[in-house]
Amino acid sequence: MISNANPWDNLKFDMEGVIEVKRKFFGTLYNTYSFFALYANIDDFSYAEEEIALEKRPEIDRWILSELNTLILDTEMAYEEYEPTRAARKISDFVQENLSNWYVRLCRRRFWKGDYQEDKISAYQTLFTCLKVVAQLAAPIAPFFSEQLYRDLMGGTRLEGYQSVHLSYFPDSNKASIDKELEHKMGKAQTISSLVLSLRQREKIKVRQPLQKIMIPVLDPGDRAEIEAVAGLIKSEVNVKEIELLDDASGILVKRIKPNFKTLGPRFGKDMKAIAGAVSKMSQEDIQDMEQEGEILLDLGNKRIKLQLEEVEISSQDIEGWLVASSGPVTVALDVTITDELRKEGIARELVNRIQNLRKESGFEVTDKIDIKFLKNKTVENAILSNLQYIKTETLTADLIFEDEMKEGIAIAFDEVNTKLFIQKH
Amino acid sequence: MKFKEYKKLDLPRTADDIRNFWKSEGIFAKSITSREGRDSYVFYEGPPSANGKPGIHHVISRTIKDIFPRYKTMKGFQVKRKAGWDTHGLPVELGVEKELGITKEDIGHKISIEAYNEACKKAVMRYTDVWNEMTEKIGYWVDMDHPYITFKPKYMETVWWLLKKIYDKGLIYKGYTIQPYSPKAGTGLSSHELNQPGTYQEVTDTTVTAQFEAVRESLPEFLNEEGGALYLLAWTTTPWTLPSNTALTIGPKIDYVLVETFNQYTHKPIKVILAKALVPLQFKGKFTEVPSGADWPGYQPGDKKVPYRILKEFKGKQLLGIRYHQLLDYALPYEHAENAFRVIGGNFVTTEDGTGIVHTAPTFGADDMQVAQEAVPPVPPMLVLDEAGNPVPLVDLQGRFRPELKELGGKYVKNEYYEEGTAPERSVDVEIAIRLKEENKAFKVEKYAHSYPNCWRTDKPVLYYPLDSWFIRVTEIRDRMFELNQEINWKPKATGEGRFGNWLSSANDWNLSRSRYWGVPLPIWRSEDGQEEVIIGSVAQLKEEIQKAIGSGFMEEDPFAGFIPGDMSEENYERIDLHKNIVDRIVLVSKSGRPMKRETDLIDVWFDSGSMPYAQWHYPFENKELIDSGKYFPADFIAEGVDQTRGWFYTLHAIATMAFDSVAYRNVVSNGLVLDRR
Repeated sequence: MISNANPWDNLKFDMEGVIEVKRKFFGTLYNTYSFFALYANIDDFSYAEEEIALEKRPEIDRWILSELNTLILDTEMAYEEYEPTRAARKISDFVQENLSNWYVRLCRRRFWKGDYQEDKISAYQTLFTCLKVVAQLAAPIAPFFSEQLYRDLMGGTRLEGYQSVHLSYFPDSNKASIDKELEHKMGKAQTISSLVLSLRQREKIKVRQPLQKIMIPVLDPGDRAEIEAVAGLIKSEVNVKEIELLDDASGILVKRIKPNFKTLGPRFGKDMKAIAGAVSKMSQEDIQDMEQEGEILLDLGNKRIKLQLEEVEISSQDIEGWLVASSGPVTVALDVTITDELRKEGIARELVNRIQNLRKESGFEVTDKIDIKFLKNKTVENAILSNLQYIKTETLTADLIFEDEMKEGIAIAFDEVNTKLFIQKH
Repeated sequence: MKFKEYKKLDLPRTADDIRNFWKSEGIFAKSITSREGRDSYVFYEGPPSANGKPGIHHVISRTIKDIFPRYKTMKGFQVKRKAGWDTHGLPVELGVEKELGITKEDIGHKISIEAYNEACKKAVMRYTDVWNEMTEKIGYWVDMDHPYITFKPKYMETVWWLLKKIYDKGLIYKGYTIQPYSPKAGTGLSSHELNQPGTYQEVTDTTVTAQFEAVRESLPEFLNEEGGALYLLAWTTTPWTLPSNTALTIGPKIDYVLVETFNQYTHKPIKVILAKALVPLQFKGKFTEVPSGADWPGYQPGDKKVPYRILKEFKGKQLLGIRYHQLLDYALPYEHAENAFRVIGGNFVTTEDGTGIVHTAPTFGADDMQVAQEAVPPVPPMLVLDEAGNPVPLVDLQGRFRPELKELGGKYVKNEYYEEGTAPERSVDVEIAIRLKEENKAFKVEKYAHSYPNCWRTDKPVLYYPLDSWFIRVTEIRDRMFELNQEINWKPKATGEGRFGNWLSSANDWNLSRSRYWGVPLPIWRSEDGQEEVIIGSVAQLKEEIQKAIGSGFMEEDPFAGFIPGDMSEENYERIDLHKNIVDRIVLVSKSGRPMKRETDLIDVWFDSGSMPYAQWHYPFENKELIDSGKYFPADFIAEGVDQTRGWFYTLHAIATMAFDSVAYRNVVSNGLVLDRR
C-alpha cells in the first residue's frame, strides 16, 4: 500500500487499490520466484557451485545485475531521505519492468533448455541474487512477504544466511557491477520493443505471428551501435525477422507537427496565430532538431521565441503497409504485411503454445517426451510441415502424425484453423 | 534441499506463517539484541489511548512507523522501540462517567475521587488486548511488554520534574483566560465538551446597535470639523456585556463612513460612524438616502421615512485613538481606567454583520481580551475589586450581576438561569435596551436569531467568562521554537514550514489547567493569599516538605510513609500514588509558617505525552546518561498523522525547547488522514 500514495497524501482507503498493488507487485514477484523454484528444483540448483565471475556471465546477466546494483543505491537513498513511496516504486518497477518482463522473459529458455553448464548456472545465480536482494530491499515496506521470500531462497541453499531477512544487513551496492552504457542500450531495446508491441496490439496482430521487418531511424553512429548491439534481443522479443537502421529517414518517415494550443495559449496569447504559421513551415530537419534539443528557436518576423517540446504535438505519418510509433527521440516503423510463409510460421507457433498448455493440463513433467496426433486439415498440415523441426524441439515431441478421423483429442480453432489435437507420453 | 513451491499466492496465509515464525523464534527481540553495542537509532512511539479501539488511521500510521526502524536495523543500528499508552484526560473520564451513570458533580459525593480514579485506571487499559492484536497482525514491531504508561508514578514523577524545571526558568504563571463556562454546572468547559452534539442551539436574542459618543477633543481634524454629536455604532447580541465594555475595535484596512441622520427613537439629529459596506444593512427599512447635492429635508416625529446621507469616507486606521464616553457608567476598571474607552485595531473585524465596529468587553470574550491586551497601551478589562479585594468581573460565578449594577444587581444575565417560573418578564438584555433607547444611545434594537452554545450537561447557555488558569509562557520561547524547527527534517516539507511553522510563530501561552480528576496533578502548593508557593519536582522533595508540614502540625502523617527515597525499584514505586485523591490531602508549610494547599488543577494531558522522551526512562531519576549523552534523545524519527501538528508534534517540541533547548526529533513523517473511499 506504501507504493500507492505518499504517506502524507490523504490516503483514500481503497480496497481495489490494495488489490491492484497486490496483484501487480506481489503477484509478479511471486510468479518470478515460482518460476525460479520450479526449474532450480528440477536442476537441483542449490547455489553449491562457485560464484561465476561477472565477466564470464552473459550480457543479459550483467545487465540485470547492473540494474540491481543501481536499484540498491536508489532504494537506499529513498529510505535515507524518508521517502518510502519512492523506494516502493523503484523496487516495484525493477521487479515488473526489468526482472520479470525483460530478464526472465528473455532468459526463459536458458532455464528450461540446455545442459546444467556455466550459462545455466549463471542464469540461476543471477536470478537468485536478484530475488534475494529484492527481498532485502523490500523488507522494511513488505515485511511479511519479503521474509517468506528470503527464507525460501536461503532454505534452498547451503549458503550462510540469517534466520530472518530482518536480521540480515542491507545489501551494499557493488559499484563495479554497474554498467551505465549497458543499462542505456538495454533501456533502448525495452523502449523499441514496447513500441513495436504497442503497434501489434493496435493492429491486433498476435506476438506469435512473426513479422518481417522494422525500420528505425538513427540519430548518430553511437545510436546505431547501441541499437545494433541489442538488435538480436529486439527481434526475438517482438518476433520480427529483420531490423533496418536508417541514417536518413526523410522520405520514408514523415513527421507531422502542430502547436499544442492548450500549453501555448497561456504563454503567448495573441502571438498564437503567428506561431501556428511558423510551426506549419517547420521542415523535417527542424522537427528532428527540436526532438533532439527539446526546443527550437522560431522566427515570427517581428521577434523570435523559443518553443518547448511539450508545446507542440509531433506524430508520425504512417507509410502504406507500415505502422509508425514514437516515444521521445525513438521512432519505429513496423512492416505489417503478413506473407504466406509468415502466416504458416504464425500458425506453427500458436500450435506449439496449445501443445504446451495441453502438456501442462495433462500433468506431464517438463522433461516428458510426447507423441502428437492432429486431425488432418490442409492449412494445419501446410503450416506444420513447413515448421516441423521447430515444433518437435519446442514441445519435446518424438512422433507427430496426421489422421483422417479422430475420436480422442481436443478441438482447436483459431483464425482459419480448425482441427483436433491429441497428445500422449512417448 | 529444495526451494519451497506453492500452489498459489496467498498473502493472508504468508502473514500468518511469518507472524508465528517471528513469535516462536523471538525475531523482534533478536533484531535488537543482535545489534547490541552498535549505534542506536532513536524512535519514539506516540502513545495512543487504549480506552478506545484502534481505527484504520492507526493501522496506516503504524505501517509507516514500522518502515524506518526495520530499515535502520538492517543498516546495523540498534533500534529500541518502547510502546506507550496515553492514559489520562477527558475522553477517559467521560467514558467512565457514562459507564457508571454519573456526572462530574457526583464525583466526591456519590463516588469518592479514589474510587473514580480507580475506575479510570481500569477503563483506560480496557482495549490493550485489541491493540496488541492489531499491532501483531499488521506486523508492527514495538515492545509491548515494557510499555511506558502515563499514569504510573515513575512517569508522573518525571512530568513533575519537567514542570519544575520549566517553572524554575520563570515560564509558568497563574493568570486568567476567557473560557466557555457553565454557571449552572459551576465549571469551565473544554473545547471538546463544547463540541458535543446538540450543543449549539438556535436562540432568539434582543440585540442592540449602540451609539458610543466620541469625545470631541480626541477626534482627528477631518471629523472634528463636523459639528454636532458624533457616535460610533457597535452591534451586540449580548447587551448584558455592554456595562463591561472598555474598547471599540475597528479593522484598520476597512472603509468607514460618517453618516448624517436622525435617531429613530428620540428623533434627535445624529452623525454616526460605521463600515461603508454595512450602510445598506443598518439603513434599510424606514431609512431613505438623500442623494448628494439634494436638499436636506430634515425630519419631524411621525415622518414615515428617516433621511440619511453619507458625509465622508475614510479608512479604519484614521479612527485609531479616538476616545468615547462610557456607554453605561456603572463601574470603572479597578486599574488603568485611564486607558479604557478607546478605539483600537484588530484583524478579526469583518464587515459581514453588525457595523464593522466591534463592542469589546475583555472579560467576556477571548478575542476581546486578546485584542485589548495587544493594544498599546493595553486596554484594561472591566474588573472591579470584590469584598476581599480580589479583582472580579461584573458577573459572578453563578451568572448574576454584581451589586455595582445597582437596579440590575443580583439579576441573572440570562433568563434561562432562573429556576422555572421565577424569571422576570424582562431580561436584563431588554432592560438595558430600553434604557439605551431612552438615553439616545441605541441606534437600533431588534430580535435576532442565531445559534448559541449550551452546556451539554445542564442544557443552559454557556457564558464566556474569565477563569483562573496556570499557563506556560510559550510566547517567551516561541522564537526559539521557530528557530529550532529549522533543524527538523519534515516530510512533507510544507507541513513543517507551513502548518507547523505558522503555528509556532503565532503560538499563545499554553493553558495547562484542567479542572478534572484523572490526570497529573499540578504540583504547586500555595498559601491562601497566593503570596507564597512551592513547586514539587520529585517524590523525595515532596516527602521532605511533608516532614516539615508534620513538624509544623499541618499534617499528621506522611501518605508516602512506605516510600524510600532513592530506591528506584518497582516495588518501592508501587507503594505510592500521585493522583489527585492522594495529593490533595497534603498540606505543606510555607517559609513564613503558613499552610499551603495544592492548586486544585490537573495539567493538560498533552503535556503528559509531550514528556515521553524523558518520562519513558524515568529521567533524571534513572537512565540519566541515556538522555544526557544523547543516546536516546532527541529522536531520529517519529511519525504520526498530520493532526498531531498541533498535538503531540507540538508538545514534544515545546517541552524539549523549554527544558533542554533542543529539538525532540530530527526527522518527522506526518502522514495524511485515511479517507474511506465510500
